[in-house]
Amino acid sequence: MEYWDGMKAIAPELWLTGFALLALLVDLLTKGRNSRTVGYVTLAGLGVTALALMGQSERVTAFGMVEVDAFGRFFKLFTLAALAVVCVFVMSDRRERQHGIGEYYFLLLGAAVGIFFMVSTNNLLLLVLGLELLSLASYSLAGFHKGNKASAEAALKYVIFGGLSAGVMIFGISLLYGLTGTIDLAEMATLGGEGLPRGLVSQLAASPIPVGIAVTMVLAGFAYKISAVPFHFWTPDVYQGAPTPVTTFLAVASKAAGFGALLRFLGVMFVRGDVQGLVADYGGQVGLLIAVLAAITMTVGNVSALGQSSLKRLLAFSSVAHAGYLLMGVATMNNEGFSAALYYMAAYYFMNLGAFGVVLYFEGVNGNDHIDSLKGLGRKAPLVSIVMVAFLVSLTGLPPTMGYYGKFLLFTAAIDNGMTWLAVIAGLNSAISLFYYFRIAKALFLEEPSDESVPRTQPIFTGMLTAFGVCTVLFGLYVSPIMQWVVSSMDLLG
Amino acid sequence: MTVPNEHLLFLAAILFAIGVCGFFVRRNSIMVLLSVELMLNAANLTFLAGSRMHSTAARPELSGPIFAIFVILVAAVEAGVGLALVIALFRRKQTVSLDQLNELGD
Amino acid sequence: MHFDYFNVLVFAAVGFVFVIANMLIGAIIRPARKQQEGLEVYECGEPTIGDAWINFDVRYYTVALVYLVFAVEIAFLFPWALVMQGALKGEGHAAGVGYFALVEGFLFIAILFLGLAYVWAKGDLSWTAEYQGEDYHPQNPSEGRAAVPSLAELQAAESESTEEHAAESESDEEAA
Repeated sequence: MEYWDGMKAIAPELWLTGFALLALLVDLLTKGRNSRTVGYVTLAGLGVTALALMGQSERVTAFGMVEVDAFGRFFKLFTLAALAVVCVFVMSDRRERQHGIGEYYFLLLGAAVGIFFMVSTNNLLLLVLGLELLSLASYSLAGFHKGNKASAEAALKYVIFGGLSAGVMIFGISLLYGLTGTIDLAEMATLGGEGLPRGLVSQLAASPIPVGIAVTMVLAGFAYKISAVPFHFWTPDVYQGAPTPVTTFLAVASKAAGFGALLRFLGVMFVRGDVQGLVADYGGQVGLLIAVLAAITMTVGNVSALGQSSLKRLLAFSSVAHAGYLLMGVATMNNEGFSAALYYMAAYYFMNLGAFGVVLYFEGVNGNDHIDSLKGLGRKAPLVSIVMVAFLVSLTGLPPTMGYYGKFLLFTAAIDNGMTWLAVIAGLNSAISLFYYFRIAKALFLEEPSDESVPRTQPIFTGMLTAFGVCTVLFGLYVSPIMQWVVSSMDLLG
Repeated sequence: MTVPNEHLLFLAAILFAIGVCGFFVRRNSIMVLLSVELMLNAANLTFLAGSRMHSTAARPELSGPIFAIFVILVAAVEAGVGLALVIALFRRKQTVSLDQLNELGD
Repeated sequence: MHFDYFNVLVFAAVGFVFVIANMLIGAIIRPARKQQEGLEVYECGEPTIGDAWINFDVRYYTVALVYLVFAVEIAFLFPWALVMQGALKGEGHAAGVGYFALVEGFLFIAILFLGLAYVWAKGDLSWTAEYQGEDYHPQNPSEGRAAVPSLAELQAAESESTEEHAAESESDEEAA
């Protein structure tokens, strides 16, 4: 009966898969005419899955592969919450309604299944499969507007870079397997022994360079998912060319999943209590590598964002920069930094979903996403514009917002772990980012509108954006609920 | 008489290197996707070599071959999606060259 | 151990010699008559039409892509089928998995079938479906490969060639 226990443990994933298939069936039965129904099925599926997730409290390992723990649950709930918002985006985007878009929801749910497995496994096979499931769904979503040259081009670029990073990552995993004889991270992190896999620790002493090459190659796969330098080239093009709800999904859910998997990979391999003493030096070196990557990533992201005229491209480079800030927490390689990264992720959820929602709204109003076309919208659509300013303040990292507190935690973690130089670079970067975020606010409020047309309002959509804005500020002032959730979720290293 | 494991690893490394070079040198998107397949197959070969190295008569190490089967699947599905997107782009632009991908940007 | 490599060398040598020898023998003993028919592509006795380098209909690729994915999924069913007997009897590697694996395998096939049904219902498998997209215009038809002939053109070419053949056979008879 152990199989049924396993099935119970992966019940959320099963529900999600079931609802994905159901969405496909409903789309078939309604012949793609009524995609709204499929949207409601999807939202129901997300709700049921969330309930199934909340019902799990004990820590178990299903089928020797799926780790059901609070750390995974954090990212799963994060994904569900992000997907729900993306679904609402899709349903309220008038341009999306023209297409037969039942598959849209199926692909979103499929991507969620991928994320679920990817953030909750110590098994590299399942990690790769989850990552690929997420990637494949993302490719198709990015190219969803088949008639649109930009969308097709974005998707092709995404596939090609994705293929490269998947190839490099899988080759790295094959090297790790060759070195240790196991594909389980926890087994890799042990000393090994008679009749057991050899363990990375004994390999570290014997052949440090191959181990370093293998670990670096695996990190490339994660770097692609979180769009860290030097695997960020796809980011601006794909963000610009993909439909805006898909861009939102990529910027929030897909990136968080990449971080979830990365934290688990590093945590189980190098940081967990039972291995820390054995690989402390090596873990520190990997941390240093990530710190350098973090510094380069945030600098490249922020400097490139300065000259952009497309709002989606600007936010794409901003998301590269934010990957750099988050990597700062990862680089510390301890509980403090990881928790800071988790909190910043929660902040990132509110401010980035909000910012992309506003972009979607402005796109609906203007028909394009140029910053110039935002001129004077502060007077025409005051509520949305004010909310946008709250998101921008939070993205810059100024008080009193979640972004500020998140950055505060990340900077503290970096300084506490002897990476003051990294904190200084991050501080300078935040100052740079002020310039381009301020450009948006300036266009909204300080410039004259080019015409007098009044945009249509969508009450539900505007209400949701306002709620995000309020949350961004509220949870920045009153941090304990999110902080408690983060602390209780950090059972990874225990 | 068996092929030593080192030979398998050398072949895998060469295949991977050819794949990476092809990826960066080729401008035809089909050839680039082929290069990616080459890289994935290099990984497959390494998995099989690793499995051979770690297997004993008492304890066969099977996670490598299993991984290889899944990688074959991943490669096929990725090629499927990739080619579908190439066709979608070809219908719009009548080219499969990566140099012609210039719709996006400022 | 080098003897094993010698086997490979002998095998390769025999292969090369066999092919080249046969071509040489053929070249020596066959009558050398240069005629138009002799230079044409041999297509099972049928007269050929047009160029071999044509663009295949794009609808063919849709079917090919669907086939590609389904064909590879079958790779999972081979190991599954191999251990299934032992699993149900409780022997071998898969002992203890039992009916769970059986049900899971069929579930896998069922999901695959759902995918197939989806493709079918969306009309991607039906060859006669009207192409919904834009018209296909190669950039320079004159430089590009020959266009696929329409049915009317094919029939015209066919009737022409039969007329030619008839004319040829008449002239042959006259010569005789």
